[in-house]
Amino acid sequence: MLVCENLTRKFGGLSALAGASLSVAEGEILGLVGPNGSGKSTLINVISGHFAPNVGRISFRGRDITGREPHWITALGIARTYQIPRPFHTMTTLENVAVGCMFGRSRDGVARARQQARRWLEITGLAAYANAPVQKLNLHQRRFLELARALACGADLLLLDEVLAGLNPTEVEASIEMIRRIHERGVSIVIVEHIMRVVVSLSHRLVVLDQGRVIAEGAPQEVMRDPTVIGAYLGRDYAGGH
Amino acid sequence: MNWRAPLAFLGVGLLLGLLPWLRERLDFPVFYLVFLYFVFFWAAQASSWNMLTGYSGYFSFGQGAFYGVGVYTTATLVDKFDFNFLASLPLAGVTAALLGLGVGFAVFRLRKLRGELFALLTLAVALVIAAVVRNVDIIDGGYGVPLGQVPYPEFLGDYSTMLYLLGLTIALLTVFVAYAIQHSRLGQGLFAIRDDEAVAEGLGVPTFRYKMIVLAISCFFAGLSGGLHALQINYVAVESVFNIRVPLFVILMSILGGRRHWLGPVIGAAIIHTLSDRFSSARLEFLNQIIIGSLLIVMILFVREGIFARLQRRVWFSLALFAGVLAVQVLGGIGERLITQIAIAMLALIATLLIPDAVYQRLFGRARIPC
Repeated sequence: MLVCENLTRKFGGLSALAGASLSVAEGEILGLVGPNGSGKSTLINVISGHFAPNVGRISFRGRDITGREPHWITALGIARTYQIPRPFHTMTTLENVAVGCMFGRSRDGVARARQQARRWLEITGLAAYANAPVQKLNLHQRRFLELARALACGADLLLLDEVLAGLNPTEVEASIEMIRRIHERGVSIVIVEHIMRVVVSLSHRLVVLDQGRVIAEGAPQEVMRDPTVIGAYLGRDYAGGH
Repeated sequence: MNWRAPLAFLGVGLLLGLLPWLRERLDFPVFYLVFLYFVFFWAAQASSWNMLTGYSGYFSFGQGAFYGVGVYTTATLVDKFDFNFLASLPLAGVTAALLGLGVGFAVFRLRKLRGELFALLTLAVALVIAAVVRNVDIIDGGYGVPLGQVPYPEFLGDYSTMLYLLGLTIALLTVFVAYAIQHSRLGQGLFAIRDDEAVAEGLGVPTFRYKMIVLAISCFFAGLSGGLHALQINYVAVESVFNIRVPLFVILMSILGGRRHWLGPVIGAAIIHTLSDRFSSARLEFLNQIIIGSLLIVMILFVREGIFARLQRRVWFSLALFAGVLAVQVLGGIGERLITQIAIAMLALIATLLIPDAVYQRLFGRARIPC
């Protein structure tokens, strides 16, 4: 579905991505893990078009999307969420989601988009807050709003950037349940996450990034036992000690 | 958008369009037509500015440039090329829109140019245009352009009636377009850009195209309205066209009225022009500046949403107060002119609208909708 080849992105002298290659299959939940600063967020930003890669190529369902504008990429069916929710703060919850329905992949008018948005709010359990200003939502609800807005774009591939960070255990469980439900609707998912237990249980496959490169990929349980991965997380000495 | 809105605009237009005819029957002074022309002019200018700045969040100090280009397009075409005045009006709009597109193409390509940088850049454009106009002989060359008697179609009546009717038409058209944008995908996309441009783009809003479109529309109406205003000014000169008045007043009016709603700038334009007109006719211009200046400070600090949003929440109380204050003056024979009485009623209205929501609810209560 999505193929990234040899992606490199530099900020000043620093390479946030240094030749990362990976692919996402249709219907897959791919876990993207790695220590802080390993390039996970940059990868999300490059795939969604917010940064163009300096080197490398990205294609989605056979179409080259390298360096295209974000709105063009969204129209093909890739949507993302932000780690720190970024709702439109002068709009209500419903209006926020309606923006996704109006743009994204569709060309719906305002009235129809508002109807569609209501459906997404019901799916994400935010229907009761439809007409509330977004300031009334807590972090957990704002994350769900991010999800609803991304789904409203008509995405076939969702890029989730740390949707669980800062949530309490109950909220984490509710979010995992929600991600599973979204996946059952036929949406492929790339999930960036720090909580290992969650990624391992959710993902079909794991990709581990370190210093802008893919250092391991495969079935979650196996990847987590890989000495290179343990080394990247805990330092070489620990990996060597086993 | 449904068919009711265009009909409502048409209805308002017809009612106001009857005024010159009524004036002949009832014989009230021509002053009222001139006064209303200025309200229309400011409503068009403020609405034009607000389409760009209020909707998309790109703060423009360059309204004067686009308005001025409109004024000088008409002035030059009519004076130097014997152009039909009516035909020059759309050209004034198009010239301003082309200038806007040029500026937009340069500015919107660079993602960093937001906020104060965009404001400064638009201000710079106005300065450059003024310098060009002052130094190019075919346009002005520093001597000014006296338009004198400009021929126009007879059915538009005498000169003030003609200005009144055309001003009304242009204002209605501008305000209707502002209304239509607010209720369309374009408007919703612009609101998203205003709140968070990167997120809007990520949700599929074609941000560059939308900013260009709204800039072109905004400049078109600034130029169109400016073109007509060339006839009102009659003696067109760089100093009177490219000064701080237009860019400053459209900002004042929109901030007072409110930038989130198409009616905000219209209400702001009506109030500020009425107050300025009354104060200057009473030779109290300094007081006018003090009051409008302090009003702006109060609005920015405490009533960011503008008075229209509050008016909506307290609509019956506000209308009753306005009508009450007006009625007391008219029936009690206080003051001699209706406009002065309206201005005083407006001041009373603004004063009550400045009361914060919390205090207002404690004083007057409000029926709470059971949840």
